[in-house]
Amino acid sequence: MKDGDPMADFEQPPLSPVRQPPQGGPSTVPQAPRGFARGLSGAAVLAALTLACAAAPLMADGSTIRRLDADPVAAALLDGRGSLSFALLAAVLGGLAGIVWALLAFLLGALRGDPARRRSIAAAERLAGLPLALLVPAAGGLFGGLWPLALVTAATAAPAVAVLAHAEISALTRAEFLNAARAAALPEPAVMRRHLVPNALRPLLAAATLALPRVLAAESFASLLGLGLPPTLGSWGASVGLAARLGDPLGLAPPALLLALALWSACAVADAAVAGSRKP
Amino acid sequence: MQRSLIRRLIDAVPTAFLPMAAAVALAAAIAPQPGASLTLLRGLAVTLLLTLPSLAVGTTLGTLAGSWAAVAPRSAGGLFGRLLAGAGPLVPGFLLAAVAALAVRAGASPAPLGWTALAIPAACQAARLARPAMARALGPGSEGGAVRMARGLGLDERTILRHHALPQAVVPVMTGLRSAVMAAMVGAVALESLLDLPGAGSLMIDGARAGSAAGVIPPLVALAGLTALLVALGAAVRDWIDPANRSAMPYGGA
Amino acid sequence: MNLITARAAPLETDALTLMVEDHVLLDRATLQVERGEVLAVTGGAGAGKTALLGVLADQPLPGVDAAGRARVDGRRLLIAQGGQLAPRRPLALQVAEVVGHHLGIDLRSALRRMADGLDRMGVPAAARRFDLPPEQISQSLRWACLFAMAAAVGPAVLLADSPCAGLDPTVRLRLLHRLADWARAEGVALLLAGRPEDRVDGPADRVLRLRHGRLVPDSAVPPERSAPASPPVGHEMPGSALLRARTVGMAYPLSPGPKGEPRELTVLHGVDLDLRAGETVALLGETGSAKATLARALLCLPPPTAGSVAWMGRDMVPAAVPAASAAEADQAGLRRTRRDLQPLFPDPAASFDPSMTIAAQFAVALESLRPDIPASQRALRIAEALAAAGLPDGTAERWPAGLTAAEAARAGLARALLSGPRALVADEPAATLSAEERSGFLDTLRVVRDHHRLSLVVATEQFAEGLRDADRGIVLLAGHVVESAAAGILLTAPLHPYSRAMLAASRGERPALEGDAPSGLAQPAGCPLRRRCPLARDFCAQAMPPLEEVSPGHRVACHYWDAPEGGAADGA
Repeated sequence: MKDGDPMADFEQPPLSPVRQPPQGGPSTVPQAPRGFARGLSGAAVLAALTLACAAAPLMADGSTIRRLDADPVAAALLDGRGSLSFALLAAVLGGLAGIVWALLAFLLGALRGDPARRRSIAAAERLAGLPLALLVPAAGGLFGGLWPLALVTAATAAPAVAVLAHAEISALTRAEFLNAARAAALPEPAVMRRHLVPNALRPLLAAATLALPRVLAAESFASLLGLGLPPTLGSWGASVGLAARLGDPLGLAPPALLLALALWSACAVADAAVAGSRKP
Repeated sequence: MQRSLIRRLIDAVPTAFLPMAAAVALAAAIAPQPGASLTLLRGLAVTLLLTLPSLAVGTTLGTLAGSWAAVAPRSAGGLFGRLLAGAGPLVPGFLLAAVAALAVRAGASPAPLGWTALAIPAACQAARLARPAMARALGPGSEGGAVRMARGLGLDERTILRHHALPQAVVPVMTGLRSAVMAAMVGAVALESLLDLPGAGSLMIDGARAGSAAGVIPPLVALAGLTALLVALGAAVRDWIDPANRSAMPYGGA
Repeated sequence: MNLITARAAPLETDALTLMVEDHVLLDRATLQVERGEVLAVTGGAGAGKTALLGVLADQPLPGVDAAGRARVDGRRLLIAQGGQLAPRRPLALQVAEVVGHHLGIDLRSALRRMADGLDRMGVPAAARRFDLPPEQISQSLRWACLFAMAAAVGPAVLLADSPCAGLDPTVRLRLLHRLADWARAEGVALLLAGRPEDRVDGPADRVLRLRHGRLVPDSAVPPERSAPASPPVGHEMPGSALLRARTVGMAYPLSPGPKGEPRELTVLHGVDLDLRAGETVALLGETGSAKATLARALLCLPPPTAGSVAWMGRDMVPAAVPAASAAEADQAGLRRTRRDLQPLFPDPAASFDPSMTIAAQFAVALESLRPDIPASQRALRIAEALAAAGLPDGTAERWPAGLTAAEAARAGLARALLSGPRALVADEPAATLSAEERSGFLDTLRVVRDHHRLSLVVATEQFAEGLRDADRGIVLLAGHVVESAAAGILLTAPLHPYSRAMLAASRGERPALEGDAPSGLAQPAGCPLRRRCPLARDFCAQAMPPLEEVSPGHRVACHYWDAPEGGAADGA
C-alpha cells in the first residue's frame, strides 16, 4: 500500500466553485427551470399573435371590413380579435373564480375545521374530472349571448385552477420560513402579510394561467360547431367550422393554423408558469 | 386483469353507469320525440366505439414513442416521439375533426379518419408526459436511482429499459389519462357533429342547435358518465400493467 | 501493510485521475483492496466518491474523464447511491433477474440463495416478503435485501456507494457490520464509500479519506474525539433554570375511529427538562424518538398539547396558542421570551423566505424582536451577527436561493444571534452538512455559545458528536426519556441498552440491537425497545419502566439496566 504519499498533506484550494448537490453526478450545472425557454417563446408568439390581430384592420384595404370577401389570412387575423379577446376575458374570470374558490376553501377550513376545506376542494377535483368543455356549446345553444357564454366558459376552467391553487397554497402554509417568522415573534397577521402573501402571489398567478388554454380551446370548440361566439364577433373556431362544412381547404388552413399556434403558446406559457412557480 | 377490471367497474357504478342510466330514463321522460332513449343508447355506443379504440392505440403508441425519444432521440422512432411530444397541444381533437370533415367531403372514408383524428391528440399527450419521465428515469437525478442500481448490479440494458425505466415513464401517462379521455370526448363530439355520425355528441349538439334543454341535458349527462367509464377502464388497465399487482410468485421453500 | 500475496488483489488502481471538464476530481489515486478486505473511502458531498466508484464499476458518470489505471478482477457489483430498486416491481422478480443473470439459475434457486443472504444480514424469516414491491417495504429492509442480493450473486468485488445513508445510526451500523462480516468470510473485496459522519469506516479494516481530490490514509489516530476535552462545566446554580419544561406532551389528532370517537396519536409523553444558564443539553434519539418534537415544543412552535414550558418563570404555552385571542400583555411576554430563546432549524435553506434578501428578513426579525434598537443601528447589528457566524459582509445582500448549504446554516445561526438571545434550541443544526463543512459549522456554534455564554439545547441522532461539547444528555426513545445523565457518564458508561447501542454506533462499532424501530402507529406494549433489546425479558412487555435515579443526576428507564448481560454494546 502506498500510504505514505508525499503529497498527502498538500492542500489544494476548494475544487469546484460549482455547487454540487449531495446526490447526482458532477455534471450538474445550475440551470433555468424546465420549459422556461418554451414558455418564453410561447409568450412571444402569443404577444405577436395579439399584435397581428389588433393590427389586422389596417391590413384590410377598404374602409368596411367584410370577412367573407377578404383574403383568408386577413380574415383569420380579424377572427383572432374575437377569439383572443374572448379568451382573455374568460380566462381572467375563470382564473379569478378558481383562486377565490381555493381561498374560500381555506377560509372555510379556518372557520369550520379542516374537513370542510377538504370537502370543498374534493368537489373541485371531481368537477375537474368531468368533460366540462361540453357545457360551452350547450350553453351557447341554450342561452346565446356573450356574457352567459363567457361565464360558462370561465366556469369550465375554474375547478382545475382551484385544485392547483389550493395545492400550492397548502404547500406554502407548511413552509419552514413561516415558523422562522413566528420564532421572531411576528403575530399571525404579520406573518401572512410579510411572508405568506408575497410568496403566494406567483403560484396563484401561475395557477390562473392554466385557465387561458382551457377557455381558448373550449370557445373554439363551441364556435366550431356554430354554438359559440355570436357571428358578428368572428372567431377562429367558427371560421374553421364553416370551412369544414363548405369543404374549403384554403379557408380552413389560416384560422386552423393560427388557432393551433395560439393554443400551443398558451399551453407553453401555462406549463412554464406552473413549473417555474415550484421550488426547484 | 379480470378481477381488477370488475373491481374498477363496480367502483365506477355511481359515477359512470348511474348517470348513463339516469340520462336514458330522462330522455324517455322529457325528450320531445319518441324513441329518444333508444337513440341515446345507440349514440352512446357509437361514441364509445369512436373513443375507446383511438384512445387505446394513441396512448400506447405515444407512450412508446415518447419513451423511445428519451432513449434514442436521433433514431426514427425517437424523432417520431419528439415530434409527438413537441406537437402536444398544437393539435386538439376538434381541430383534427374539422380537417377530417374536410377530407370526408373530398371523398375519404370516415371511420379510419375519425379514429386517427382522435388517436393523434391522445398520442401527443402520452408522448409529452412519457418523454421527460423517461429522461428522468435514465438521468443523473434521484429518480434515476433504480436504473443506476440495476446497471450496478450488472443487468443488461434491454432488461433495464423494459423493467426499470419504462414503468417510470408509464406512471405519468396513466395519471394523465383523465385529461386525455376528456380531450377525446370533446374531439368525438366535434367529429360526430361534423361528420353527421349518430353519436351521443351529435344528439347533444342537435339539441343545443334547436335550443331545447330537454334535448341537451340527457346526452350531456350520458357523456359525463361515459367519461367516467373510460377513466375507470383506464384505471383497470393501469392495475393490469402495474407489476406490483402481478406478484403471485411461487417461492415456497425459499 | 505490504501484503505480498500469490494472487493479485482483485481491486487495484494506479495513479487514477478523474477530471470533470478542467476540474481535477480525483488526483492520482492509488489503492488496492485484497480478498476479504474491507476498505472505507470517506468524503463529504461532492468529493468524488460516486465518480470513483463509477469508474471502478466500469460505469463512468457522464462527463467524467479517467486517466491512469484501474483494474478489477472477477465479477464486480456496484450498489448505487440511494439504494433504490424498481419501486413497483416485486422483489422476487428483481432478485431472480439479478441472480439469474449472473449465475444462470432459476427463480426458486435464486430465492433460496437470497434467503441465505438475508440470514447473513440478520433479517428474521417473518420479515421476508418477496412478493412485495420495494416501495412497500421499509428502507432498512430494502438495504438488507440489496446486500443479500449481492451476497446471493457472490461477486469478487463489491462496491457500495453511501450504503445505508439515511437510516438510523444503530440500524446502519448493524447492517454494515453484517456486510463486512460476510465479505471477510467469503473473501470478497468490499469497498464502502460514504460521508464520514455516517461512520462507514466503522466496520472497515482500512480507511482512506477523500479530501480536496486526494485519497489520504486516515491519520493513525482515528478522529475519535469522544474523550470529552473537559466539557465546559456549566455554572450550575441550583434553582436558576432558565427554561423549565414540565410533563411536556404532544399529541396529533387522527381521523375519527369506526364509532366516530376522536383519536389521537401521542408522540411525546410527559417529558421534564430544565435548562440552566450556560448549560448545553443534548437531546439524543433516532427516528421517531420525538427529539425534534420536543425541541419544537420547547420553542412553542407549535406549543405542546400538554404540560408547561416556562421561560424564566413565565409560562409560554398560553400565549403561543395561535387561536386564542390572548391578551396584549401575554403577547408582549411572548415577544420577550422569543427574543431570549431562538431556534436553529434542521433545513436552514428552507427557513429563509425566498422572496426577500437575507438583510431584509433579518431587519424584519430585528424590528419585531428588538424594537429598542433604532432603525439606523440595524444594519450594523446584522453585519455583526453575520460576522459572528463566520459569513462575509456581502452575504446580507444575497438571496436565500443563492446560498450554499454551509452558508445557509451559518446564516441561520446569524439570524438566531440577531436579537441577542440567552438560549438556542437547535434541531439537527448540521443535518445538511457533511465532513469539513459540518465540523466547521459545529465549531462556530461552540465558539458562539462560549462567547455569548448561551445555553444550548441540541437535538441530534449523532450520539458522540452531540455529547462532545454538552454538559448533559437526554436519551429519548419513542417519546419517552430513557436515560438522562451528565455527558461524561453517557460517553463512558451509559446504562440503558438503547444508549449503549447509540454510543456504539457513533463510534462505528456494532450496536447490540436487532431489527428496526417499530412504527409510531404500532408501538408494542410496555417498553418500546423490548423487541430489539438484548436484555429484554417477559416482564418488559407489561409496563413501560419508570425513570428512576440510579446515582445522583443519573436516571434510567429500564427494568434490567443492572442485568449482567451487557453484550457487545458496551463497546469499551
